[in-house]
Amino acid sequence: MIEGLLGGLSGLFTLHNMLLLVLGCGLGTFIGMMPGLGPVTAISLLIPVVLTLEPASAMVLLAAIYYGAMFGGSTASVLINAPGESSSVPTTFDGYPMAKKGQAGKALALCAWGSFVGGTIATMLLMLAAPTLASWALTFQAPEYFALMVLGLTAVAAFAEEGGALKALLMTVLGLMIATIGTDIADGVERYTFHIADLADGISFVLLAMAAFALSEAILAALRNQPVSEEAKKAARGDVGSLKLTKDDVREVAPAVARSSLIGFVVGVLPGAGATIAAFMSYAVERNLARGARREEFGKGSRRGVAAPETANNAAAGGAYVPLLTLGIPGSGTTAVILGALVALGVQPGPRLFVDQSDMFWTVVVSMYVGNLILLAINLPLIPQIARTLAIPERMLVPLILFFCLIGVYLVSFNAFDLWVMIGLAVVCVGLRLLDYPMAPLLLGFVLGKLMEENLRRALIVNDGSFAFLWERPVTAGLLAVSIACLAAPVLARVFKRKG
Amino acid sequence: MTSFRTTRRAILRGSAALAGASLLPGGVFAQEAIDRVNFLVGFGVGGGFDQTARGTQEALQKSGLVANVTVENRTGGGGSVAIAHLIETAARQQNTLMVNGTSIVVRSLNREFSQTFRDVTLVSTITAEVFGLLVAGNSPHRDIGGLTTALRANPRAVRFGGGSPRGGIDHLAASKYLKQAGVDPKAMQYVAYDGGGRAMAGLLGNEVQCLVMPYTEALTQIKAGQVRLVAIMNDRRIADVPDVPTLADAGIPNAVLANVRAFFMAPGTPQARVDAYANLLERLIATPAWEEVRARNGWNMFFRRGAEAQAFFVQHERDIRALLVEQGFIQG
Repeated sequence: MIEGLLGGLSGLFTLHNMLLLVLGCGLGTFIGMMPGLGPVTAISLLIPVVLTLEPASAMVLLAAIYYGAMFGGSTASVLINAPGESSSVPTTFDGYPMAKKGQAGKALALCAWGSFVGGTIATMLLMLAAPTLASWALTFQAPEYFALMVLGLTAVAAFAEEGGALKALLMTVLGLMIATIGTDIADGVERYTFHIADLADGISFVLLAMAAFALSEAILAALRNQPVSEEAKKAARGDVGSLKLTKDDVREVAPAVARSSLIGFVVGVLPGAGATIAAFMSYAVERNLARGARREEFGKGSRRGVAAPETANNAAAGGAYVPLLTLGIPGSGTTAVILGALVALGVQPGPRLFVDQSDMFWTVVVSMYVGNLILLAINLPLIPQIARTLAIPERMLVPLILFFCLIGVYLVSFNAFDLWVMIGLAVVCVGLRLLDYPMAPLLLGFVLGKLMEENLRRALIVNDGSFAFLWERPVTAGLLAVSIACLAAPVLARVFKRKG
Repeated sequence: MTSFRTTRRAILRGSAALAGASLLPGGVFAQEAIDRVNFLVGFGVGGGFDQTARGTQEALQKSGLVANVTVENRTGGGGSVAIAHLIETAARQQNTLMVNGTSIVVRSLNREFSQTFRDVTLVSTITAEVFGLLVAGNSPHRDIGGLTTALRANPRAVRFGGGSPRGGIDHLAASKYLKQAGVDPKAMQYVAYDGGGRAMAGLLGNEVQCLVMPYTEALTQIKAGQVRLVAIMNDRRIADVPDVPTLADAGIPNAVLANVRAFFMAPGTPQARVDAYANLLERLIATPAWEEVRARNGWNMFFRRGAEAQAFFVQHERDIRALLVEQGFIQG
């Protein structure tokens, strides 16, 4: 392994490869920041160029764009409440509230450090355990995916405090319902589309997130028309608060980052899940684990709530390389395009890649370590600059958010119908928000609901309609048991407290 | 029966047509010189149709035929948003080639949308991804004979998987194989996955025992020995996988199916312009730049233009309708 790392170092430290790495990191960060522009678009555009490179150089560049985009995705989430790409949606839950409290700098710094740690830990795990993990990922089948999604949904319980349980539950159900719009994956039957072709592919996740957060936030801001607050004035002067993380910050966030790195990587390895699910899972876990005052902070600017999803989505990007390299199976659109490029370059993904293409493998691994350092070096000093461009007075911020939402959603599909859907949903969300309904459970229900239904139905087909897989498969049963424990724990704790 | 393979004949015919054209007085082609192409894709970046568009874009630019080539992904409604867009804005789509193919036929037959391939102008077909039967590397079914025997004994002995829903093209391909092999397709257990990649994970994890999908999507795993391509649904063997028998070789006749990709223009495009684009494509596929893209993607060439292409689509629609009727998805 030492030999491999040294070989990788010498492979990477050529002027050519280092330039590509820096270029990839910079480009990735930029793409991640722009709502609507995702890594898949950028990588597809670059394919003809990439194919003229050596395989190792090409992979260094493509990987850097991919994890660079995960790195940059947090910026817009924190500053304007519009996620740069879908795996940064949970970052808006607490990132934007932090920014509103004048702590945008700290939130972005937490994102940067979390991304760095997540990316680095994922690279280590990729280096150490890729083949073992790949065969494990294959044992993860429809019943396990179903149970994993159920576990994710239990996070709703964490959103349900102070009599808000019913509201959180209702929003989750609404999310599950919206997820069923479109053509179902098993039978190809259209549901709730009213024969409108534009609805046949369902509602896109980015669209819903934009409507629920950014757009409805902008509308609410316009409706409130409050006098400019002290924080907003500060923000307008370009004062984004301190970037420095105090000892208390580190102590608060470190365990969350460690957990999220692991969760993110493991979920990223599963070809049926991916970075968005990973980010939601880690957010949910942190919210479930938090106790007392820490828990109250969630949704209002929790430091853990910002760091966890950003750590997890970067770790998931690393995890996605496991099935990609060892099985040739892409888990997302982005990795599918990367796989296409790999094959075109004559690299044969498979269990023997580590032997047959060891030079390339180690160069890419080393480039991931170095790339994460570069991203940190690019991003940290840039935070005040980026924040300043966006931290403008609210009366100008509102049109700017509107602009980014509309452009962002249009860029995904080039379909004007989607804009109307988004505006309609945003209006509904404004009403719900005025009535104090939480938005996060809506997105949670939506993002998990689709996969939960799909995998449950697949599991039922495979098992001839029998539900026995729920308790006969150890991993499924284990995940479901943990889900029940998550739901029961707060209730039991309350009961015992009363008795004690 | 149509055959899908890399062919030089079409290419030669194309150059002959061009040579003839240049002799025409007045330079008919000079008037229809093509200096820009816009590919309209009704599906997301990274998918099969998108790859066809971007591969053709790359070859057009590298061969020096056209420099100004763009790709426009207008997604929604399983491609119908792009089709509707092409029809509604036909007047300003004179440089647009929409990429579609078998998908438009299946979806309009399933009444997912109202348009058919007749509502747009077919320019030419370009490639055909031949369906193949894949089993895991460690499968007890060593070859197509073993697989078929097992299925004849018990149609539920093998669970099938594919990247499309029931009634989609992968499911229809599996049905066609079973029916021609004398097994009732309605007894088949078919598991639908969201795309070929996840279906492959299902096969490697033994959630399903046989995948029916365009074999080019699985070349990586075939080369690595993780899966075995036991048969192809073509009427002759293919040079890229010379050892793989066709279903006909295994005594299962008339089980031929491919996912065809084709280019369409807006309705009402003048015939001269359609011909000019067909000529351009015909010239393109004779270039080394195209061959490079084709070989890299493992595409099976299937270039048909004009009346020949139209006739193919009419037959293709008839074949798929028959499969859908047999499966009870639509009424005859």
